[in-house]
Amino acid sequence: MSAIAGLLAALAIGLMAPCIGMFLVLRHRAFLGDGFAHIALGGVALGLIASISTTTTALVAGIIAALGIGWVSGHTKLPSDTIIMVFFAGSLALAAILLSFAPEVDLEGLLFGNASNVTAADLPLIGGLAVMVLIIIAAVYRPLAFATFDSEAAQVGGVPVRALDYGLLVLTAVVVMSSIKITGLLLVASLITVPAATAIMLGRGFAKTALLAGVISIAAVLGGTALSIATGIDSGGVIVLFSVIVFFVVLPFRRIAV
Amino acid sequence: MNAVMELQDISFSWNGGENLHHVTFSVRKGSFTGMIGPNGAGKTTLLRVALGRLQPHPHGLVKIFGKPLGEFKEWWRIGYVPQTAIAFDKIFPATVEEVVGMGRCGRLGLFGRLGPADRKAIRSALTATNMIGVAKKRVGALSTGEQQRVMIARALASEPELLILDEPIVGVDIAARREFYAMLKRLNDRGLTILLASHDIDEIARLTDELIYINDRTVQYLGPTRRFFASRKMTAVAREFHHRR
Repeated sequence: MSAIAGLLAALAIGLMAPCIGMFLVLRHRAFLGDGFAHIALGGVALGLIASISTTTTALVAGIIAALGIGWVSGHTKLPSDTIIMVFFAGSLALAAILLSFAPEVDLEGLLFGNASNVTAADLPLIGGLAVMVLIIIAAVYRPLAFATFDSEAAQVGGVPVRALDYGLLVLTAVVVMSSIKITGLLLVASLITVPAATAIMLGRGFAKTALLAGVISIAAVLGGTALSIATGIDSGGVIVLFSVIVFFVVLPFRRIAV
Repeated sequence: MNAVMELQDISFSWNGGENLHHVTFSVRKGSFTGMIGPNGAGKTTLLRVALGRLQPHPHGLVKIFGKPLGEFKEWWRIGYVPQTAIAFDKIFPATVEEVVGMGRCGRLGLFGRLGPADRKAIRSALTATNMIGVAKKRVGALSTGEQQRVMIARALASEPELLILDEPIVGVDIAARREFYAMLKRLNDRGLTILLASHDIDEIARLTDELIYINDRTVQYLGPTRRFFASRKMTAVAREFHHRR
């Protein structure tokens, strides 16, 4: 059951990660995924101390941080990477303190992911979140693309740019927190950005690029997870290495000057 | 006068300095209004105040289509091409058609889907800007002149009654500029009100029927373009900034 649970969770993550990744790469905010991964550690540490689901506590920590990053961005002129760094550092510091009181931790699984750690009990949450992310992105992709392409014209045209910025932050947190068991904290950002960056290089229209990113991402997570389950190698490494190899295979065939 | 945009006694300060000082002007329905002024005179700031992007001092009043700015919600009635429109990221994978389709977002709302009327409006905007032949091309792969026309098409896709352009020909080559201005003239002849902020004083003199001249943070001239350029003093002032820029 654990193998099937791992593959199903990987499929859900493979679908939702590039949906967010497209917008982060095009907004030059690929670092955001990495920031949320480190923010997750504070939530995970809380879960371990309180003996409750670490996915849930990481999710709550991520959403609080997303709203906090959005608020600070809207009320200061600080660069976004600096603001993310502040939340990243705060959560990491909290994790460092809490983990000294925590029971024994599977540090390797936490950092690099392990598909075998996904249980049937995790599936409703991860699956539900994936469906939610896909529905939201499908519903708002056009105004979100407009706000990404030209935020000033979008705002004048009546697009609620601030609300979409907040929404994208929260969805990024959701995707990162749902993916940690499969890809691990250190590699989750790569799954969000690398398939999207690969598809963008092929440059075949926004909708088609998003679909292509999804195909690359699903191939990477399913292939990597299956290999991980079969061999016992940590899943995060296999998945991300696969997607990075695809990136370099595609590089000579790029249609746009990147 | 049937004004589509009115600004009354607008002042705006930022960072301790006053950027706009008691500015008053209006844009008449159906007009082709030019806005000129030297660098730093406040043209972009003024447009951003008029569009609600910057908050002026509370004593001033901005009205759009007869409604105070705070009550105006029908933003699709305005097509806006900002100064930075073609400074977009060239790796953006959207096609010309997809970018023009973004212009329908204001009418569709956050969750709206494109319907037959939207597709017709997109096609019509592409035709009006002569971009229908490159609709499936990636926007970043076009020349700067073509990219600028795509941005106009995006603004036209919302079927606006007022088109506002802020320095649209920056980075566009001379041949493309001529074609671009001819297109604007055609759109105005069809009844679209246009407000064009530009440094291109020769084209402003040739194309527009109304003129706003801004200098030293306020409106120095507001009236028919022909009268402005017939005035020797005003011509001298305008030529001065033309050579200084």
